[in-house]
Amino acid sequence: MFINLKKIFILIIVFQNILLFSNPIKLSIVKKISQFVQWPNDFNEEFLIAVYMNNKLKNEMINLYKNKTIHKKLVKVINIKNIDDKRIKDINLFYFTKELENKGKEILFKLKKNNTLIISDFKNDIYLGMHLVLYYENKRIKFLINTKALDDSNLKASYKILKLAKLLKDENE
Amino acid sequence: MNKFSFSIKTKLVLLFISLSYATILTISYVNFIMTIKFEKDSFIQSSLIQANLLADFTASALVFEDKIAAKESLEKLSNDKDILRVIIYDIEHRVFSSYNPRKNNQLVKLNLKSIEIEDVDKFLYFKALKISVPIKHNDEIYGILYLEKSTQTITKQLEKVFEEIFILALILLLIIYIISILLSNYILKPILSLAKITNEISLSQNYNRKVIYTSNNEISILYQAFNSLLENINELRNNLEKKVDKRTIQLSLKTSLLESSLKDLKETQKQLIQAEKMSALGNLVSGIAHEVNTPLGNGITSASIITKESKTLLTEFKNSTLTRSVMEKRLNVLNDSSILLVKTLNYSSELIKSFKQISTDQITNDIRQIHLKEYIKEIFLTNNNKLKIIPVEIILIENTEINIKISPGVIAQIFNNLIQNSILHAFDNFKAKAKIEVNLIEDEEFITIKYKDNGLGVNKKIKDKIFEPFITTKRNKGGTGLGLNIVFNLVHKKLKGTITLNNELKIGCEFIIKIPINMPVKENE
Repeated sequence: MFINLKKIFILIIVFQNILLFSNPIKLSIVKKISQFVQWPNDFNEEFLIAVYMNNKLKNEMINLYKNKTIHKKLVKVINIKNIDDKRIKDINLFYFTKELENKGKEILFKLKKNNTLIISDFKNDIYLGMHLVLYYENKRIKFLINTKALDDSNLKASYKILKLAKLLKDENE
Repeated sequence: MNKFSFSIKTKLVLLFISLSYATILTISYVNFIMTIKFEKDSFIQSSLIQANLLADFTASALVFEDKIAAKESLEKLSNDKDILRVIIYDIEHRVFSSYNPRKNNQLVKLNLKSIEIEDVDKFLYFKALKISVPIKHNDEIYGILYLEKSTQTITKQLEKVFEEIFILALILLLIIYIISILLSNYILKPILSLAKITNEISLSQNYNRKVIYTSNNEISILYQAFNSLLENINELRNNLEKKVDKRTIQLSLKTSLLESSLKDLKETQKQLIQAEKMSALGNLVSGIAHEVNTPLGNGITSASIITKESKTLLTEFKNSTLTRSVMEKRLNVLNDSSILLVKTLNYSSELIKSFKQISTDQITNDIRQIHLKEYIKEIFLTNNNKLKIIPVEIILIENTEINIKISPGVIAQIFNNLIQNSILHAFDNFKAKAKIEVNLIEDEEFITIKYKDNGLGVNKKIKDKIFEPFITTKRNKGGTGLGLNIVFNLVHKKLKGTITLNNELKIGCEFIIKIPINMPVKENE
């Protein structure tokens, strides 16, 4: 009974997120977040954004970022479905829009070894080592940042975004 | 001495204070101006940093359109009382968020390149600082932050600085005043002491005193010079007393000599005047003799004729040879001669009367009413014997009949001298037709007598001193040089009038005598 209630509660939250976190808003936020994160200098020729098993979102992103640049690089959007995808090592930003299952977690662990900014729509994913999660609170979109994970991936978040976001440390407090 | 002059002490104090005050004022002014500039620049710089920091802190809120976060960031500014207004504009210049505690709705002019301070040129009280800075990240501009800050803090700070400088200047001035007083006292004390001693010496006349000054400086030179001066004065004083005594004796002797000379001179002058009078009298007597001589001669002739005719008539009558016609003839001769005799005797009598009057007038100086023209005519008559020799034409003109109460003797003396002057000087070896013209003019205040001759004129050398005594060019021909001086004195002292020599005349000379009509009359003066 309690498990069912928990599932219902999660479903309600997800549903709410789906409603308020519509794709265009999320994609805009993701783009803006990327402006406030500094990658190491050995950058690819293009800014590679990947989504996890969400072809629809990928297409929306392609449309949104068409001829757009992030950190003066043209944006390329790909959809990653399995861990063997060789492009994983070149990804600059990985966006999880689905709850992680085993395969997802494996990709996550692999991504952590790279300089990839990992974003998720699920607040609890921050504890899995996600760099940044977007969530909805008090009718506001907020983000939670795992500063340690960012440091581990050699990524630097601007103080400007750190000031606006909740940090994992704060969350623990 | 100028009653507004200051003492040296006051001058020194004023000089010290003026110089010090000018220095303090200049330094204070420069210091204050520099402080203002420094504070102003610091305020602008710190405000600019504050605006840029705010822009940085609110950048993410603007980017993520988190108005609440922006508001929260701006609300923290409430601690800063200087901030009047902060407005965050998005890239489209729409207000994204604002902090406006004073509800100032004045429109904002957005200009990214400007940092504006209202009334920044005012010396102290400028108004608000207005800064607009871009809100950007990674060179991309997301909006504009407008910051409006009160300058009250720096104004108060500068006021405080100004007060401090002012108080410091006053304290310095007070200190300088005290120092200048002490310094003046120190400098002036020996001088004032010297002045006091000088005054004492002046009162006591004790020039044997000495002044003592122990220090070796400029004042000691003054003291030494003063001592030297005292010695000299003392010496001079002693010498002077001796000299004064000597000179006093000399002066006394000279005074005696001068008094004696003056006495002699006065005696001589008296004698000369007497001689002049005697000369005038001699002239008068000579004139009388000359004038009376002719009528008397005629009278004698007439009397002789009468005597002769009477005798002849008597003889003829006794001899009975007298005819009617002869008798008539003789009687006619006798009648004519008698008439002539009477006429000449009358004329002589009149002449003598006239001379007598004039000579009496000259002696007595009595005041009486005279007809001026007639009287002058008689004076000329008394001089006729001399005038006739040259001969001189006499013209007497009067503008109106002038009757005046005056001392006629004075008039006679004046004219006698003027006539003598003309004869002796003007007509000496004169070849042309000599003429003396006397013009009598009476107006409301004066009777003017213009005595003019057409003679040789006055020598240029003596023209300016012609009325001074003993001035003559004819000393070798008997001129005393007193005639015109007597005339001058008579006109001025007796008649209270004036006499001038007409310098503008080219031919002859002219004396203009002005006698006041209402002159005070003093009989027997």
